[in-house]
Amino acid sequence: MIVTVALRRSLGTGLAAAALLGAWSLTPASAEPIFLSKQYPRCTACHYSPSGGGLLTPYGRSLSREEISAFGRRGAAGGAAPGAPRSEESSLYGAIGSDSPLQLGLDLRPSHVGVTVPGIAIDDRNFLMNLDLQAAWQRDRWTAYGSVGRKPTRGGELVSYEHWVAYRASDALSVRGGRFLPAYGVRFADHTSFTREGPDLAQDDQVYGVEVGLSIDRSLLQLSAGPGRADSLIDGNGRAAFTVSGRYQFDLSPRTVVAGSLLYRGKTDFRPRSTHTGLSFGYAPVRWLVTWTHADRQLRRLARSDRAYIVANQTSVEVLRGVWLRVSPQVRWTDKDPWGEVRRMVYGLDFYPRTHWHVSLSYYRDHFRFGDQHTKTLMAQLHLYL
Amino acid sequence: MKFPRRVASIALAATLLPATLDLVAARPASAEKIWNLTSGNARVRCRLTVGGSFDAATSAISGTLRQTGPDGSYAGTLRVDLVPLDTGIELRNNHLRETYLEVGRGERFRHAALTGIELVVPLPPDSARHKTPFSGTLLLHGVERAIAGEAELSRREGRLRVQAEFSLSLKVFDIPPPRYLGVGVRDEVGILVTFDAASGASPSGGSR
Repeated sequence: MIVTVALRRSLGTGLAAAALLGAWSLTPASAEPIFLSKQYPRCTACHYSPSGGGLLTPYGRSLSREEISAFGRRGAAGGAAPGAPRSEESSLYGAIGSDSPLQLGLDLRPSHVGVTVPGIAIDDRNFLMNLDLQAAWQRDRWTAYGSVGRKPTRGGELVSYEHWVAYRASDALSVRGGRFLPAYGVRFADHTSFTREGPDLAQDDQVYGVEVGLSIDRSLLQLSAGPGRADSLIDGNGRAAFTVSGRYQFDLSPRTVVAGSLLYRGKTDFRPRSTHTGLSFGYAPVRWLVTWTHADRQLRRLARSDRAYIVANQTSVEVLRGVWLRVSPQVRWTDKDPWGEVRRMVYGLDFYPRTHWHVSLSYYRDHFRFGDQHTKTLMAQLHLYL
Repeated sequence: MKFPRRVASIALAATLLPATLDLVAARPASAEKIWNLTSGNARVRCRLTVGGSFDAATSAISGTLRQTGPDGSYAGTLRVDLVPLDTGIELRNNHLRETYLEVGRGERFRHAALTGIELVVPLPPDSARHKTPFSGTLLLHGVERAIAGEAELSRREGRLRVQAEFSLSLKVFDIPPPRYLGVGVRDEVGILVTFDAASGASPSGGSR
């Protein structure tokens, strides 16, 4: 019995360490669902991508200066009119004007990660988590979008996480095709969030496919289908599965949103087919507080367990202009495997001193029931989006 | 036993007279009922061209309404000060007030005013809750136009609560299409006005 417990502890320690090290070595994509508190319930107000994250539109850049940053705004103070084509917030500090159909962005994230796992000595890491060039070209009803950067793993080889072309058929209907992250649930900026890792929607889980978006009044419907995970298709490793996703969002008010999601992946040589269903709720009672909750259920044919569940909340408070505190309790478990349960608590601080600059501190405390392991992770990151 | 006819007539008159007098006295009072706004707010729902919407809200609403007849028409003005309209974002507030509503151009731009309110179905005297279409004339951005919508009135302890909803076209009120860095507000915006009113004497000059 003692040997079993010790073995479980040791295995648990190893698994926890492997999971943590793997997760934090990769590139996050950014999205700001905190903007629901400013009455922006849709990603497309600030991002080119309908599923959020990536390059900011000129409007999103303007908001990052006028509404997110602690210093440097001009809206209330007068001076040059906000939105002047070559303002500080424009691409590369105004090298490209906001009126240009071509917009560029450079995304850098020098990071520090320290992981503490009992019984294992792990060195702190300082590394460049991200170095991506992003571009969007918009003309009339067409948008072409692409990014290229180095992958922190695989020896820093070049990768294009997203590249797609979108066509806006009408005010309500749009279509895009290419490589993108399918719309599902709420896209927290933290790609290690259970709600993103669980359904395999982390930073390099984009799919090749076609997406149709229908936006009518308070409703948004996004449907996508494609041959599967882009990296797996490129590698030809047999892990790509036919993937279908659907997300329906209803804006109860400009500050209250509910969304139902579905994600189906077909069978591969390595994994059974799986279906995720999720329900998300976002609420911002006041302009300095926003809370998002996502509950997720995964069904898949496994000998040990059919169902897995994830519940995660992220509550953010703007304590001072440009300073947000973040708390995120998360849990995931499977119905027939009590040892698979993992509980996480995240405490974070996001400081936006000036447009293009974002300092992020996050402290993660994970409890793996298997082996009764507690791990701690501290991540400090300077995010520059030029 | 037989009542003399005169006694019966006097008795009948004595029974009916107070009620008749009450009706006569009550008719002008109910016809000229005055409602003073005590609190309320106006909420403008602006739908974005990129999807989603935001609200611009203010509680700077005032006015007095006088019911001029049993047909559901009201004299007086509901007035909303547009300067404190708040969208939750300063930049958006500035654009809204200065660029589109142009509140600095004078009184007819600074305030929105609703006059000539008529309820299609008048508020029944014994009804606690009442829903009806209504119409009126709205002054906004220096332009007066007829509007129509739905109103819900509820009466409680001598007070009146009103929730009125209507939509309008920005173009009709000569408000330029709001656009900023590729994001705009759609032409049709929804207005929700909620207020509480207490019955009472009209403040001098307040009802018109």
